Amino acid sequence: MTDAQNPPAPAPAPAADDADDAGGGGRPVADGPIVEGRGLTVHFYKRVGSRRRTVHALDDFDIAVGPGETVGLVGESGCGKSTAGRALLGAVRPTAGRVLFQGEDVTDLSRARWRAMRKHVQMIFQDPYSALNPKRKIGESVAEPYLVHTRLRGRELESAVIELLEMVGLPAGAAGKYPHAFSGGQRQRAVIARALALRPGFVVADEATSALDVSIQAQIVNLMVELQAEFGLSYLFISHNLAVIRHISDRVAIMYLGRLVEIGARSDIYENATHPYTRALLSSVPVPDPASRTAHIPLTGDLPSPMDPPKGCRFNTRCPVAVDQCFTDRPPLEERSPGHSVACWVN
Amino acid sequence: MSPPTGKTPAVNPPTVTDPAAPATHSGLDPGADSGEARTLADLRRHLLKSKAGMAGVAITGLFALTAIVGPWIPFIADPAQQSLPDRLKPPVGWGGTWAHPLGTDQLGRDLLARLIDGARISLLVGLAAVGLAALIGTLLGLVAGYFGGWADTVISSVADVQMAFPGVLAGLIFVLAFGPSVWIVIAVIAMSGWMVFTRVTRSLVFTLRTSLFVEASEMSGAGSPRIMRRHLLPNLVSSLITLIVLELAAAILSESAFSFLGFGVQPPQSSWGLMIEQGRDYITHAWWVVTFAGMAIAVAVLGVNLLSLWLQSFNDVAEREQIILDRPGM
Repeated sequence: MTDAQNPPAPAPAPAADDADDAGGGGRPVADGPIVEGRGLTVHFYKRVGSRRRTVHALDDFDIAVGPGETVGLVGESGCGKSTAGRALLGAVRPTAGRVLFQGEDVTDLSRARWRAMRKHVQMIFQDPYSALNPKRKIGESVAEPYLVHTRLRGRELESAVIELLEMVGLPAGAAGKYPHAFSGGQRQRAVIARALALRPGFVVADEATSALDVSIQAQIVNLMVELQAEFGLSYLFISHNLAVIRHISDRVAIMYLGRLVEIGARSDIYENATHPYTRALLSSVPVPDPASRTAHIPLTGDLPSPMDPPKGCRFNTRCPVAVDQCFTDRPPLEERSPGHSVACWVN
Repeated sequence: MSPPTGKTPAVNPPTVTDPAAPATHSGLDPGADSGEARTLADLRRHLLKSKAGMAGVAITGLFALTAIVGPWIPFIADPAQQSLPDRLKPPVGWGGTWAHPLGTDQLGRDLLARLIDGARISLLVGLAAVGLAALIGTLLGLVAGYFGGWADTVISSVADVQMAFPGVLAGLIFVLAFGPSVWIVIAVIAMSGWMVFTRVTRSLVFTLRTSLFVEASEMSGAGSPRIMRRHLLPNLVSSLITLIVLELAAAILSESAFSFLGFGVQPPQSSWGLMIEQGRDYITHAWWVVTFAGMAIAVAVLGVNLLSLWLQSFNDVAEREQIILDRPGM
């Protein structure tokens, strides 16, 4: 495996749009990640006609989320983002690889032990309309973690629920109403309240804002940032919205067809994107600056089927710069500068 | 903190004034509410728009009322009182007197009194049988749908076998083994009806269990019994009620059939099916004995079916919208 390509030197940031980057720059992972995935692989088996096909949902996925850190996970729909998040939460059993929680291997915990783990790891869902049971009051939904994990009952439970609701900016009266009485943003607040009920250390936010009105998205993101500061939460923020990811993430990971293609500090990704896929993704985001004339790199064709991923680099069917090697050998994820790793033979 | 949205002015012309959900339709997702605000007022308003529904409610209500207060209705004769001189008296209008408004049977018993008494048995047997079937069937359907795998394979196979097995034959076997009685009829009807509940529950749970709120509950660490009871079952209730009413009609019919065949309710108890069986020999010269009992069965079953149909349309949101908008009369 040659390593001839010169890793591009960290280019000085374009002056136009780094205002939001002042304090960022990729916080280093402080003494041990809270959650870590090592070589996570998830294969599903699907029967197509009489043949059993393997769906490569996630392949050899490495990620570590430090305490208080937000890692953004970006990729097209169906690229395995959600599977990655669910595998880290034990909701999907990995075919291979390990999941570590505070350095402890939790991959093979029993169902019962994983249930107890739920106090520490939680999830915020994409669609607040279906994440709340329509037949149960908001208060009942939010109280569920307490009922399952604690001995809080009666008045104590009630006041704990009201405290939670107020924490996410919902009126105390919301507890007695059904989800249909609330807007998407309000429902998402309730979903967040439920996720944070037991003060978890790590939260996977799976497209937590994509189902919401644009005007509401910012409110929810800001709420999540506030709560993070308050409780020292770590987030894995899954999204295809690059603007939101940029706003909230310390580090950003880019996935393509079940594999990580690039990971680095926010500035590494947004100002020094190296993988052709990352570049194409970023070039598709309109920049609110008439002076900026970044070339749009079009992505042609569809995402190949994860049942039959391309050999070599999985991006080779759509890559504008692919060379012969990309069709035969899988590019390893290599560190190009501290904390910035890329899986590409060319760039 | 103020709620994020909410005060969006209502653009849609208010077709229905829904007091339960004001000012929250921000235009985000109009289908999201899926008509959860089903208050009693809602139910009544929709009932008033459907003539078939009203007929169903009226007939079923009358049927139930008759069954409940039957023995206390004044001026009604004792249903077991025999009077051979008064046998096979015709009803009023065909030469009969008001002493026996619907005439008498071959033993001189008052037919109206016997019809009222039969309503009681029919409703009792129907409710008990359907209740039993719903209980067993829903439980098995929940388990099959939620756990899948071998539990589903076993339960679904048994349900399929039962589905293919003729209910009358099963009834015959049971009656031969245990002797005819009301309890056997209830057991047999329940046995030939549970799999309907299993199938419906199973298929609903199949979709429900992949919904986010079930996943969220699993993520909260909730166990299977809790998820079934708190999350799956509440979302099945409206479908199950409709199915219970529909099955009730079938059960009433089955009870009549069993009693007619002699496997079911035994004299001196009365039942509509039994009345037809007893009046069968006199059909050529005393048509009223079988006719009124047959009509009672037909009308009761029709009423319960109409009620179930209307409940179904009420539950189905799309259908419900249609009732409001397109069919002002029917």
